[in-house]
Amino acid sequence: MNKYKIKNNIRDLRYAENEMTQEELAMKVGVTRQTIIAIEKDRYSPSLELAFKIALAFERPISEVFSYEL
Amino acid sequence: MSNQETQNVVSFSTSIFVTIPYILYIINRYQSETFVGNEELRFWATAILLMIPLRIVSIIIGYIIFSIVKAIFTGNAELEKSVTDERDKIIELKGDRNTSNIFTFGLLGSLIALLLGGDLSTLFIGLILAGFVGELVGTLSKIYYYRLGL
Repeated sequence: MNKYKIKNNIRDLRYAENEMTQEELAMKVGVTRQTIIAIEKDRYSPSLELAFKIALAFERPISEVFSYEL
Repeated sequence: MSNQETQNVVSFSTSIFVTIPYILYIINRYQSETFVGNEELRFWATAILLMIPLRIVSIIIGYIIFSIVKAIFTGNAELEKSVTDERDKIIELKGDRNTSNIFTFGLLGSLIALLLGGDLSTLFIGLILAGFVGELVGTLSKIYYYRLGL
């Protein structure tokens, strides 16, 4: 069975945003830094609400932050 | 290590260093005593009820000791603000589900043992062990989810 995974480029976007730290992003979206680390390392798929909050923090559409791939 | 991870490590450590000796003490005391009438039931009820405050107090003391040791090693005496987010809640739920599954199997096993001719102590020792192992598995699985992902 093929396993699809939610991928993201949060790390690249953080660097593009004046090297925003994980702590700053976590504060912006209301989660812990550990959760941001887990999302960046693809060890946790965020809820739709959190995914939208992260996309809003970068002022990008959600499809530019997250993708669903094999 | 986040606050939630710390709590799970403390819970695991107190399970090993406090609950195991307590269970062994209860089993030893049971074997050395003779019971008349309802005394045996009262003995097990007391043993199980005493386990609850013992666990709570040992976790609180363990957390204080862990915080002191952490402050000494990191040189930071400030307590971290405990924030719980959606990932923490999912990990908490999954860990509790594992605890509950183990306890249910333990309960069923104890009842089956009773049905097959085991005595009252089989049921209560089975219940205590199921609760202990369930909590241990739940705590370990939470540490696993925090470290290796959901």
